Amino acid sequence: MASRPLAIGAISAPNSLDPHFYQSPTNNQTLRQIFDPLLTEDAEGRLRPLLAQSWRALDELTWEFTLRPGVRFHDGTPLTPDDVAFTIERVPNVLNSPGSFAPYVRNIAAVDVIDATRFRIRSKTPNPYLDRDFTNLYILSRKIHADAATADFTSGKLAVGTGAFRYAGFTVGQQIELDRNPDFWGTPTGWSRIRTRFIPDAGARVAGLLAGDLDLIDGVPVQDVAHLAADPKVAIFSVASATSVYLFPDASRDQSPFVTDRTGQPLDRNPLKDPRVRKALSLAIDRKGIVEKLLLGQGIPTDQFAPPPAPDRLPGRPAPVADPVRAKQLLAEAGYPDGFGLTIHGPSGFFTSDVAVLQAVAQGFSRIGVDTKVETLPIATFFSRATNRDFALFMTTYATTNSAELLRQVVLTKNPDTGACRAVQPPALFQPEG
Amino acid sequence: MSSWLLRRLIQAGFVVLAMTVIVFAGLHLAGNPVDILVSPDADAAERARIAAVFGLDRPLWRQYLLFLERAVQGDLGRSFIYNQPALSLVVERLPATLELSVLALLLAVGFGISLGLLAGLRPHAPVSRLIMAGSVVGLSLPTFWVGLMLVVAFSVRLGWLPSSGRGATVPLLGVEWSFLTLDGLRHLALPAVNLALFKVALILRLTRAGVREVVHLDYVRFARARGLAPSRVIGVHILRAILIPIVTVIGLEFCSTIAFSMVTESIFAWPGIGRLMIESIQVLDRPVIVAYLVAVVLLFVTVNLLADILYRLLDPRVGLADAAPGAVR
Repeated sequence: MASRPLAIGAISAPNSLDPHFYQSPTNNQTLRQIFDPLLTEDAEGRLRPLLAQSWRALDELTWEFTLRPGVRFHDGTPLTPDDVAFTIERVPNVLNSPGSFAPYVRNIAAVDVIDATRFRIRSKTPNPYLDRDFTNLYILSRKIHADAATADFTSGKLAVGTGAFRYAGFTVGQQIELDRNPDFWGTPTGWSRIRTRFIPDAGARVAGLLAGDLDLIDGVPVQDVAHLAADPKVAIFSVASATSVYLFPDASRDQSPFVTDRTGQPLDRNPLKDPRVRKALSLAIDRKGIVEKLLLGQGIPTDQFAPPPAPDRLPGRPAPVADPVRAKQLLAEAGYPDGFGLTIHGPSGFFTSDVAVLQAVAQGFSRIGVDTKVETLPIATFFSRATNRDFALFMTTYATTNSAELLRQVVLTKNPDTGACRAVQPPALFQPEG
Repeated sequence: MSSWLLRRLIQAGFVVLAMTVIVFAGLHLAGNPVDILVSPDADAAERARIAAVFGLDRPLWRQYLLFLERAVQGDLGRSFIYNQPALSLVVERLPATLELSVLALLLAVGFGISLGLLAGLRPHAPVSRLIMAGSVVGLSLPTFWVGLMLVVAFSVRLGWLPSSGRGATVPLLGVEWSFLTLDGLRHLALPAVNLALFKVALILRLTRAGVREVVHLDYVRFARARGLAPSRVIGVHILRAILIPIVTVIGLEFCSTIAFSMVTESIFAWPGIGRLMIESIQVLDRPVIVAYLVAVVLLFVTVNLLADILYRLLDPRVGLADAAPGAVR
């Protein structure tokens, strides 16, 4: 079987092979085989050297990196510090990007090349996470890619990186083929050829695996995990994911849409502004039940914001338990002994069992007297309305291994009128296994 | 004839125009692509940049006028996602869908008409009853379920046919085709059968009903009485008389297979335009959605046109001007 390529079925397809075209997990994951960043994160979210073998902050604004010596691009071009400078220059100039890497480099003032392997990055304002910003930014070569357009990568012509695999063919939305890079700077891979097909339909991926057309699939549907695990020909791997599912309450406005009294009349004040109400809602949710029953155990009830792979996670926290009695007390203390009416929103088809999870949350709320209705929307509509603050309370996800980023992006909300930041505490639900 | 054709084309133009207005308004109401595309950790500057790149920062009517201006020059815009001209993206995916649809249609016509003739000519034979019972099953089973069952049976259990994908392709006229390779045909088999099943049932029932109707008519009896060979009676006298409704249905079914084969394409991971459409709707990739729908409208118009011309060839009494819906003499 040595001649057959490793056949992979992947849930989503990259839209381009230009590593700076679109900042998305799918693109980054696919292109990571061809290109390398300076640093990477391990499974525990700690930074590890990759193209940079060491790095340190010299002062608040200056970081010094040392490149791994002897790294070459697939065509033999050596990697130099100037290539990092080129990469940083190129990122904001990629045309028509639907989501660029520019936010990572906007704060960089200059790159000073010191010698053949060392360079310093100066930032405009202090950025304690500057090194982390370089885990998704793949390094290109000034010599090879100086005039490269996005189409040149996608056609394969300039899909030339430093990575473990070389480009061997790509059909947009269909498949990518990769050959082992025999001159790879790191540990050589055991696979001489890989063919990844993009199969969004979960049933088709599982069928392909069972039929032997595919050797490896991702996004295994939770309902198939048990019978696949029982199959002696199949092995299942899972790892605690960096994704947290959370509920976001509208805790900043005096009046909120979709919050009413129990008869459906609008309320004169927004109960979600009261921390006791939010605490009560959090206590009403049976996180353990949701994970066990709706995700069939494929997840972890959240005990804190930092997801399991975050290095600064606090170990040994007790799992949260639903406590409807205490929740009712809190509601009464907040002035809502009879509860109120609420409509909560969430995406459908965004993550495993998302609609069922939201319904379970609503049942928990209703049990403590908050009469809750559920509305789910396709993602195309949901995110725009969530961004427009159309909802009183909605469910969504955030993925990161850096808990500070989670605090910055999810917990801290910016007042669009004053620009001031304040923290609300949205109750996190669970962290699924990926 | 030519004025009739012209009228048809003008009608098609209006349909396309109305469709683009509906798509623009509908997608605008549905949501903002920026909210879906942008990385969740992006800042406000990045969001503004994306909106500007796609022209989404302008009022909707300006966006629409700009679209019309470019469309007149044959440019339907660039895909937000793929940074490719939307039209070329649709055209690139079309061959995969086309070969699947054509094969499904050939299966449907071949089996549908022959089984329908059999069931119509010998209505009381056990085999005819079996065919009719089978056609009810074919009509009532949902495509997605049949597709999954086909995969379970022929790929997972028996291991005869691949479960998904297009297989090996070879270029012909600059386009990659699967049906020219054995591996490609093996990949085509299951999705084509899945798509054909409903159509076989439909066409065979139509054929049978037509045959039952005309077989007792005088001209068929006379043909028989004249001692014509049964094959000629069936092939010319009967078949020709019943083909008009069948041609109509085949035309419509062919269009809908190309336009709406998303379910089959999803189950078999067939990289056709159905899948492209679903993915584009999910991320509100407006240029692709518009380009796709323009292509579909033109396809429907063309196929209906061909069907009308076929009517005339089949039945000289049909005047083309009469065949044009809504046409006034």
